[in-house]
Amino acid sequence: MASTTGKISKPARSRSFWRDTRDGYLFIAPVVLGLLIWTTFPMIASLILSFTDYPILKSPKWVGVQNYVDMFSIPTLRVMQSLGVTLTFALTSVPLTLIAALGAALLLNQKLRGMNFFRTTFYLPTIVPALASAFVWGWLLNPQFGLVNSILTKFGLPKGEFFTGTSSALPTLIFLSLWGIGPTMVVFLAGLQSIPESLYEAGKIDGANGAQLFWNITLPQLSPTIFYNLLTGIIGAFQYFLSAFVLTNGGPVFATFFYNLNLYEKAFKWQQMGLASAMAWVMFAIILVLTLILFKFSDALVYYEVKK
Amino acid sequence: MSQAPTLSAHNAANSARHRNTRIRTIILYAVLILFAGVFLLPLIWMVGTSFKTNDEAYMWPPVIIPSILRWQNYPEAWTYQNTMFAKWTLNTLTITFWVVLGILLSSTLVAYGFARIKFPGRNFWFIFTIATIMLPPQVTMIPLYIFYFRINWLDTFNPLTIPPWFGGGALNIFLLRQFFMSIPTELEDAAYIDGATRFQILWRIFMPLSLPAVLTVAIFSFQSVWNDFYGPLIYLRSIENFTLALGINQFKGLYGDTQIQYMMAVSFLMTIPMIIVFFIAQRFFIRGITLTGVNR
Repeated sequence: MASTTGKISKPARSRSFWRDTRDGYLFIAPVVLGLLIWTTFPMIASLILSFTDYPILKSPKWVGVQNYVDMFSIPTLRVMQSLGVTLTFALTSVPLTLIAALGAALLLNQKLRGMNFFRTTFYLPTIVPALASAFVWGWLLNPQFGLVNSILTKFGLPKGEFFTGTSSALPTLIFLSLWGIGPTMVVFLAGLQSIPESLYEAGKIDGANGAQLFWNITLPQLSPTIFYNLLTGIIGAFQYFLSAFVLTNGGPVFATFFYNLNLYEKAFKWQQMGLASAMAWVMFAIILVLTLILFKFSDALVYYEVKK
Repeated sequence: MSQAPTLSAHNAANSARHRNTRIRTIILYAVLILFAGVFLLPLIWMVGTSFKTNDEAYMWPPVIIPSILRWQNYPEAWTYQNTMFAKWTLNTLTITFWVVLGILLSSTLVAYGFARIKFPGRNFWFIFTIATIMLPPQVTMIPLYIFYFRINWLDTFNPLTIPPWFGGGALNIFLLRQFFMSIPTELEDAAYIDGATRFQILWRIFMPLSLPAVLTVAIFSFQSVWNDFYGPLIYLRSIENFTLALGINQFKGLYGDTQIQYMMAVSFLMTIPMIIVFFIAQRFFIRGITLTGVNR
């Protein structure tokens, strides 16, 4: 209790202040330790490693910015190519998923009998483990025996190559991401249900039609949700790995060689730990830049109920 | 909320309103049923194929429903040569148990600290925690891998089961903190007067009141660790340490092209626990998603 005695100029810290501080740090100790051991130190180490040449069994050798230069100048590393694949995926699959999820939410928000069944059904693909789901799709879209090609033939359409075609493999993966709209759809549904009915009533009195109500009420009210899911979707796209790893292994001819798959191979197939660290930092930098751009846009486009 | 906002205005203006509503309902049901089929197709195809004979599985044109249900596919797949499905399931369950327990204990402690105790630096640590959502795991993965390699943790469960005990994930902390903040302070004030410690308050008052949120965290943690592929792929080497996901992938590599009915059987076996959990705890799934607004 030394702090409460003698000092007059400074307001004395009360007994409860110190007890709260001690308790507070005791309670959050796990995350403080976790942030230091599993975030801060590895981040610093990874930044340093990115400036080294480090085949894991030898000691790291300082090479300055060589890894960063190599990434952008040596085509055989395929860094730019894989970045292109990931960005293509992110910029098509994320908006498509959002539109589909919003469409599904509007559809499922109708007051009809049996709607719970449909909601469950639309959500179901997301609970199937990603690996199981990838294998099922691989089999559904098997060019030789797959059900999808059999259906296409039945309608007189040509058979698709899907994962086996250089130009069709990536679009196929993008298309498949639509089966994962479940969680986003649920968020939109909750958003739709929280829009006050009075807004629509007012709109109708002013003579607005359905499309106008959607553009001027529904969309602005949902815009924070859309923005948030756009952001997490793009961050998620950079993590995209599993389907490309187990179904196409980056092929055919690197058509689905995602950035994260490239990074994985550099680190764990070729043991280029320095280069892989540099790739991870470039990924982080791109995510940060995209986030900043999105936030800039959001000021103009996202409607918040309470302006700070 | 009686009707769809997009269409109701249109209908109100329409004189033949009643008939239009009926046509609209029929169209809506048609669209809903079509999409329900599209969304269910992968699961139906998985289950259907898992019961086919090898000949029927590779038949052209394919059929969705097998002519006879070949139940033996399941025990045969489970005990197929060069596989250890029982061991892999046990490994996955072991890892899942420790991860979920670690997440629950540490994230409730941390969330309580952030939600209810005022101390200098609280905002800093909270924002730092939340900011890690933006950090791709690849940034920390390589030094951690080297670190685990040095301390002989590779090919053990430790890299997968220990880190969750230190914080339990930013999203889980966030979700629980939100929930804890909504609990009225009067309840704990009364407990303080009775001489309860903070830990007792968390355990006796907050945990029972927040059971839905805690269950939500448990379910999402279960889902993510059960489905995890990347972590085990990097840290586990020997076949007897594999998880189900790694094992099924191994099976695919060896026999996937010729024994697809077994592939689908083990894939479905891996899916069953998720389906059970989902149907028991559907409302917690929905709650968790809407509370964090996050696509996990």
